[in-house]
Amino acid sequence: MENCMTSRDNLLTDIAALDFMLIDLSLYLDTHPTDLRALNLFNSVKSQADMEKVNYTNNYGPLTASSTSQTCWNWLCNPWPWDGMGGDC
Amino acid sequence: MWAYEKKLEYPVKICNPNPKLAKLIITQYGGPDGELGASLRYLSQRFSMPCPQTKGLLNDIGMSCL
Repeated sequence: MENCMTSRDNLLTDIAALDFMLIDLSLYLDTHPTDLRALNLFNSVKSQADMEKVNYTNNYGPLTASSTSQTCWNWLCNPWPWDGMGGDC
Repeated sequence: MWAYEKKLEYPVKICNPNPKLAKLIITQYGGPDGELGASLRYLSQRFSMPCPQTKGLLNDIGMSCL
């Protein structure tokens, strides 16, 4: 098992952090749909997350089945999320 | 209806695997009064929820627990 976080791992962790913010914000907005400050924050985090996901897909592979390569079905490529990541223990 | 993203919600690094703890966690998640049962209830209840905010909550929380 690797003992260092690769740049792939770091990018994926960053994307996970942004997505988590989006989940949290969407739950808040469900009960406060007119809160414009929250909505603006949601929008800016979303565009950052989208940008990083495009970056990840171009460098490391698809995050969703619909963002697979058009030339080969690289959806099947390893690793899958449960295969574990490097990191300091 | 569902989209799968090929990533974890947050990083997971198991330094010291603990099968007893794993068994406890999975029974808490899937067993009686577990989160899995709760999320399926929310996903069923959302269809008859008249209030839009609560309908959204049942959908979003049910989905994220699943």
